[in-house]
Amino acid sequence: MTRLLALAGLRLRLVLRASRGSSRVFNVLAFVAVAAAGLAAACGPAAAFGTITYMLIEAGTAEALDKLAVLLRALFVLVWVLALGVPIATGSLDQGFDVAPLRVFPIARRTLWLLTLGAAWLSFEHLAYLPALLVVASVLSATGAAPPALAFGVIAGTAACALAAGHALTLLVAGVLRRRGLREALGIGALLLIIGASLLPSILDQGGSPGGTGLLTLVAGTARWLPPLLAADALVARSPAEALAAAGGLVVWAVLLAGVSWAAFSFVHSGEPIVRRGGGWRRTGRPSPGARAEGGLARAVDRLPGPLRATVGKELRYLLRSAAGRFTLLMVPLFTALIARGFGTQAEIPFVGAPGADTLFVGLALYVGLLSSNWFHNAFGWDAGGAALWRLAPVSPRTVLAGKNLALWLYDGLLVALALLSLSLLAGPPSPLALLTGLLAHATAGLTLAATGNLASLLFPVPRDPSSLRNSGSFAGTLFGLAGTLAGSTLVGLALLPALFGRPGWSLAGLIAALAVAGLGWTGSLGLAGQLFERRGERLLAGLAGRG
Amino acid sequence: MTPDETHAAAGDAVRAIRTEGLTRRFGDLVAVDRLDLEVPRGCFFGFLGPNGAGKSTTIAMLTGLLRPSAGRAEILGRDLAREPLAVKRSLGVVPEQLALFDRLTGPEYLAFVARMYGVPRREVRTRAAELLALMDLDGAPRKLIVDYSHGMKKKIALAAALIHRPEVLFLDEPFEGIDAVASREIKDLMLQLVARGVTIFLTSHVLEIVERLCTDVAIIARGRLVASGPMDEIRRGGGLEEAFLDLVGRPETPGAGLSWLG
Ligand SMILES: Nc1ncnc2c1ncn2[C@@H]1O[C@H](COP(=O)(O)OP(=O)(O)OP(=O)(O)O)[C@@H](O)[C@H]1O
Ligand SMILES: [Mg+2]
Repeated sequence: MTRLLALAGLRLRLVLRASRGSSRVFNVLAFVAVAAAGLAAACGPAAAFGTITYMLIEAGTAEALDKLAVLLRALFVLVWVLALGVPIATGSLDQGFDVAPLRVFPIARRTLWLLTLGAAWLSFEHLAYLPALLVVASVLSATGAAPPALAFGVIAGTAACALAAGHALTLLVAGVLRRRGLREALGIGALLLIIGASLLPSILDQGGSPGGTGLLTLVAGTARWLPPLLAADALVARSPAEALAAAGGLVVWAVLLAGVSWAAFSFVHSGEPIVRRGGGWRRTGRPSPGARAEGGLARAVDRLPGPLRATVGKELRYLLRSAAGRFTLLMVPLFTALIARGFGTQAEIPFVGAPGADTLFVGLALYVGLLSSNWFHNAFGWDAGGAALWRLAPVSPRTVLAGKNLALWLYDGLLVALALLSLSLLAGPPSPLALLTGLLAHATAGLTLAATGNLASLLFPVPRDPSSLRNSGSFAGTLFGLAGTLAGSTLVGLALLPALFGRPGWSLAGLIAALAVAGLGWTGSLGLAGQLFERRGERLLAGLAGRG
Repeated sequence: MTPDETHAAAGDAVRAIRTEGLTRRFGDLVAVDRLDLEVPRGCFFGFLGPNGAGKSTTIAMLTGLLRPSAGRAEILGRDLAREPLAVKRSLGVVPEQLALFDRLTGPEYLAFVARMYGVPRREVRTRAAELLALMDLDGAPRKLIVDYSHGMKKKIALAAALIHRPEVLFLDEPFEGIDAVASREIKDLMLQLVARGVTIFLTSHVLEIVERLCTDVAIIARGRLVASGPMDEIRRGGGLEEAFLDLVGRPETPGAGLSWLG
């Protein structure tokens, strides 16, 4: 217990001392702002779910109760989509709280596991669904639709299951990405998943055939035993026995998933993979796809002049050697494939592909740029002690920042290419016009992110470990990232408006104008950031050394 | 060369480093206090002092890592604050906290640094290869620096500090963690460099090394310069260690242990 308290105290102190001086104040304010925005965003849906639940219970008809069952199922499925989907889609999978340094102390592994679970629980995806769950449980118990113990028990069970599952997932991905053999297995598994996911809808599409119906029944039958539907069933059960059975199922799941999370933790934290020495990345034998891309990109860079070339080359190597950079590279084509399959089959378009692929490509080109937001807004975070070299060497800060931006744009270009490839294979290639529109939108977003990023990188540096999957910056940096994203998407959105009214040509012209505006913004920020670097270089280094 | 520069170069032909009232405060603490230092060109300069005396802070100010709170510094006749890039081009530095990009391999890192300092392209490879061989780091060219041992990291930092043929070399504890063989080779290399006119500014707690290598020394304690001059002048016939202890003070109660050790 003393140890647990000491650890909690350590964690709190680490959070409070993450920054000092004015940037600490700013970070705290930014944290409050982000938290308030998040709370507001979570409370809206929570209120909606609560109101509808209340209305359906008040109505009391059989039809209304059926609807309630559907609503609750949707809610619990949403919880799971958040808990598992958010870390994957944002590419920020991690154990959240790195316990590696604590391993030198005589602390039981169980304690460390609990600690990481607790830290994981404080992440966005889990806090986001909690208000909705709590509101619905309160409504159910207040109206007597379900006993309070059952209602809140089911909520707690769901939260526990989702937490354990999300925790296990992030741990496993982190562990797998550090072990080369397993990483390759994951790649193959992902490929199989894509193929399976792309085949399944077409099988189910033959609705009339007995095989298809049989499969559907099978899927629906299996889904009933999964935690989200069990939770919903427990709450709308017609008899206490049914409710108990469903709740019991949920408890079994919670125990099971906790076991999986414990096993994943033990697996990742046993011996090697936790040792942060980059050993897992050493290339042996056949070069990995990442390594090949690395070589190709690095060669392309060889044409630039001296220091700029050196900077771009170094940055690209860092990106492609970091766990987060590699994970994004894996994730983008996979995610694209899933989206392409999902949308491509559900959209009611007789000739599957063309228009769907167009919109999808433009959307993906924008989304992919956002994945690099954290790299833009904490550009020095991965350099750690090496950052001193930017001040020791005879280079202008503008060259350094421009080099860092250029490297990220190249990396983003690679991501777009991967998304395009994946999309073209599964949903058909986008039209040339859409291609051009998407690329222009991507470039505009890239310029605005670099513009806000260069400033945030100097003002709010946060040290980051390249072998960790975590790539988020400080809260203040995140706010800058939001501003950059907003600026970029506003520019692009305005430019795209004419296309909605059937004037794609105007949109193209608008996009070129938007690109020019973003380019001006970037140039301006580069000048400003250069001056900031001269003035705050010392604080930048202190911040990266953890003395910020 | 402009007339101005010629004048400056002529006036400072014999001085590699000159500081005037160089001061650095961290909040209330004065880490370096009005330091006036003159380091002749081509000398092997030992900068000594107890832990926390302000040695690393001084080096950080002389290499552009930290800004002075007051005072000024000139290197090879150029004002550091006014011509930072020109000064930095002629400096090689091994800072106390090695500034390494540790996700690069040794050869990649050397090539990167060489390009940052504008080493001609065709020379980068040969220089890097020779330095790696000299430091005995050529055995594992694909190993990332993050996987290097402590001493290997020191050696790669030293190699990186040399690759652009600097005229002034700042070395903060270069021998700490280096094995006897490499240490010998590095010492020989340093003496060669000094023989060719390179100025070396070195801090070390190993006084024997300083005594054997350095031609000039300065001693600093609590941020203040307490002595400075040619080695023989500072030693005054005795050993450097005795002179050092005399100047910075000896332990007050020799042999006092920890009360709870029993
Ligand atoms: N960034 C900083 N912020 C606050 N205080 C600092 C900082 N850097 C150094 N100091 C303080 O300045 C003083 C001088 O430190 P410095 O590192 O220059 O000593 P040093 O002579 O190099 O010592 P050592 O032999 O132990 O390396 C110390 O009291 C130290 O605590
Ligand atoms: Mg020091």
